[in-house]
Amino acid sequence: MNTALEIKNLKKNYRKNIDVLKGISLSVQEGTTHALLGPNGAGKTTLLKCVMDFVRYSGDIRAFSKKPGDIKERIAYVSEEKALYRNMSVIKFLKICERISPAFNMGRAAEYISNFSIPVNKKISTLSTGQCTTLSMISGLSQDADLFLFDEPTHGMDPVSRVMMMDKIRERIIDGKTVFYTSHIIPEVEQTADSVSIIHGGQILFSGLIDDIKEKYSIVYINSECLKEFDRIPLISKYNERGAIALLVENVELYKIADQSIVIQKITPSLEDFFMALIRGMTNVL
Amino acid sequence: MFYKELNQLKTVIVIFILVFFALSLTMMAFKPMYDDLVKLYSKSASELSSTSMEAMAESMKDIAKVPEGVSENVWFVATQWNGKNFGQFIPLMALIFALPMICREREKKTLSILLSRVSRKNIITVKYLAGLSSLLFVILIGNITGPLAMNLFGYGTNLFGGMYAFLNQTVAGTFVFSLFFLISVISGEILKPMILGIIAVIAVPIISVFSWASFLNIYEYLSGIKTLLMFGSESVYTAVLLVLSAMSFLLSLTIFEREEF
Repeated sequence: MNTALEIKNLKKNYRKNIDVLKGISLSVQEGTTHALLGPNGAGKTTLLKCVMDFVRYSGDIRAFSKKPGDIKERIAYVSEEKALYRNMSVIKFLKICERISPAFNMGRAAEYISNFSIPVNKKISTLSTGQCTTLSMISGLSQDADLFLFDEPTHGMDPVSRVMMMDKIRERIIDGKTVFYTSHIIPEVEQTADSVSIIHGGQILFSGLIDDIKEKYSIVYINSECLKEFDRIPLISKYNERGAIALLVENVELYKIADQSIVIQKITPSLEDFFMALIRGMTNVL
Repeated sequence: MFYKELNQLKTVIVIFILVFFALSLTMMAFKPMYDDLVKLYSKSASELSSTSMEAMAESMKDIAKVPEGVSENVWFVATQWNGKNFGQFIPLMALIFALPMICREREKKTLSILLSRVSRKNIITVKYLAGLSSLLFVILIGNITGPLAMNLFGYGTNLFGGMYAFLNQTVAGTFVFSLFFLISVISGEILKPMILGIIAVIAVPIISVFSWASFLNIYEYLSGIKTLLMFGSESVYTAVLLVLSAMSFLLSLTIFEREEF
């Protein structure tokens, strides 16, 4: 499988030397959906802005082995703000999109507009937040691009529209396209994405297939006095939870502990458990 | 993208054209009075006898004198329409066309729509050309509405008699537009530069009354009268204005290409 997006040692700092991204490396395979998860201020939006060349950065970013700025027609991007010309009607906005970008597919846009029941003749300023998000996503999804970058694609949408939107995103994957998006909604990511990167404080804490999380990792709860038993194995994360110590470990490492009876409880983590364990480990230092 | 820019400017273009048409019709009310004044000045000049008064009267004659080869009606349009009315609006029009081009999109956070689809160089170039061509189109129409109003009121005037004035106004319009476009690229919001721009439009002609700031006076270009009196004699100053316009555009391009969004 070819790589659609390759990011190597990406660093970004704003004024006053605030490091937003601290040497990020990740890759997204062609024909897959890759989600970028992280708490507020983790650097998700900045990372997408770097890919789109909206901000200066150091490091290397390649989309289909080329600089993203050189292949804009192959990349569709929907920003966090869901940028729209709010003084225009929906139909006018779509016509403008068609005029601006030769890759815009008006037929597909019309189909989406119908699916989501967006009133075409209404002024965008009169639409609800959810409808604005939907329209902004439609403007992105209707491009005949190969790589789709979405920043919080379902933000502000109702649950029904959200499910529909994720279905539309999946349809593009079936068409062989690649989607890289940021999200806060972990169950949605679990259902839609093939792989995930978890970012915190400008660093990637994990990047890999979602299916691997359940297969390869465990969260174990132990008493604090047993912690030294785990000194010999690498811990991915450790934090306090309900009076016990919670440890996120690789299963292959866990089996190296001779006395398994010290484990009070062992769970196979969902994506949400895994995410929470990683973030808590970073913020709740023992 | 050019279509998108023109689409957003079309309301302003239509409003300006309607305003100028209405103003040019209003101007016609002063035509009989203007004719009377010209006759009065000519008569006064020939009747006065004292040396100092004669000198003053001579200058009055110069003011009232219509240059050779130019009809009185064209002269009326040039002085009363371009000089006293329409020309004054050009800096204000340049401000209204240029300033929102980038900073309104930045303020409303819509630049990502363009940035994700079009190169930065194209964004600046197309916006600049769309705004400037809209401004020049309105200036062109403004140069036709004056003679048009004359003809509507029975004063036979060549509809395209003001085209020399249009050339001068093109130079001034391009210069002012380019400066305001640069401000639009630099500024993060629209209100403050709009207010400052309006102050500048009013203040610069006042300041240029002083000899040390006389180079700021582009009034003769804006009024378009200069071409009728001494076409071509200010070619260096014209070149300087056009070079400054080009430099403003290039600076806008450089700043925009390096900017973070």
